[in-house]
Amino acid sequence: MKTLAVLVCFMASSIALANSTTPKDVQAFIRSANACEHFAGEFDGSLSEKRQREVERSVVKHCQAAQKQLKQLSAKYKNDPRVSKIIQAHTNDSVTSFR
Amino acid sequence: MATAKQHQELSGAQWARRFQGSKDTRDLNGTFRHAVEDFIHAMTEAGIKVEIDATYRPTKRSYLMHWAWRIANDKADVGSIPAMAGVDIEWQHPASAESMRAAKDLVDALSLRRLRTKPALRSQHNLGLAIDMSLTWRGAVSVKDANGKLIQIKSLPRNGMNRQLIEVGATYGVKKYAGSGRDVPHWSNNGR
Repeated sequence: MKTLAVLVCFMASSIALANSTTPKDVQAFIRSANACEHFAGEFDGSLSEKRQREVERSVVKHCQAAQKQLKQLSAKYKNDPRVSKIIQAHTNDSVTSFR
Repeated sequence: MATAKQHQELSGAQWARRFQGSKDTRDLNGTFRHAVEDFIHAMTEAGIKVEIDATYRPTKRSYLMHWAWRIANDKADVGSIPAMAGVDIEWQHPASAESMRAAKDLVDALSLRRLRTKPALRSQHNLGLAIDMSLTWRGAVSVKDANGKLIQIKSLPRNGMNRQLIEVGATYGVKKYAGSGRDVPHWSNNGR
């Protein structure tokens, strides 16, 4: 039981550390990339026209932002392997395929 | 002996009519279905207008949307598209121009032409664990939560983003989308 409690505390502190050491601009990219992926999974031509437009607009808003952030951040952190790895881990297909 | 390939049907617009998505709560999954139905019942009893746009979407439909979009927009190699069990589609036509035309026809038939990124292969809708519903009401409403407690909602906005209503939904196990961005009609089992 004691071991489990220590393990939980260790995991929680690790997550907190990772979050606190991720640069703010990278955190903003992660939010955009996640939203982009969410809305890419929401679209269906059988939805009402209103909902289709809503999803399409959200895709543009979040995927366009994420793609722009990705370009800037990849250049900015190219010599920082730790941050580059975080960026890479959150670069999903919906971001890269946006056109 | 006939090979699997021989049973396949060439891609084209006709595939858009297959594997349709649903607006019916009966197509939701297990306990989430009952949670949604109870929540909707409580809302309609309170005078909230509920309009459902989507519940379950078959993964086979997402597969068709994803690959049709990728062929038409990314020029994905039609010979390398992974097969999906239960979708006997042949993306590769005898002539490559025909493969492209058929994919574009399917993109049009699926209304994907305006979508500027490829449709994702997975979402909570594929698991029957999400619902898109428009919620509106006038004035104050009193909604019963899952514990039987009547919650009076006077606050704004009068839609799915209302904080009090979101709390009521959570008592049923129906969670408002809490991810990045703002998705007003989307609710699910886990807030994604």
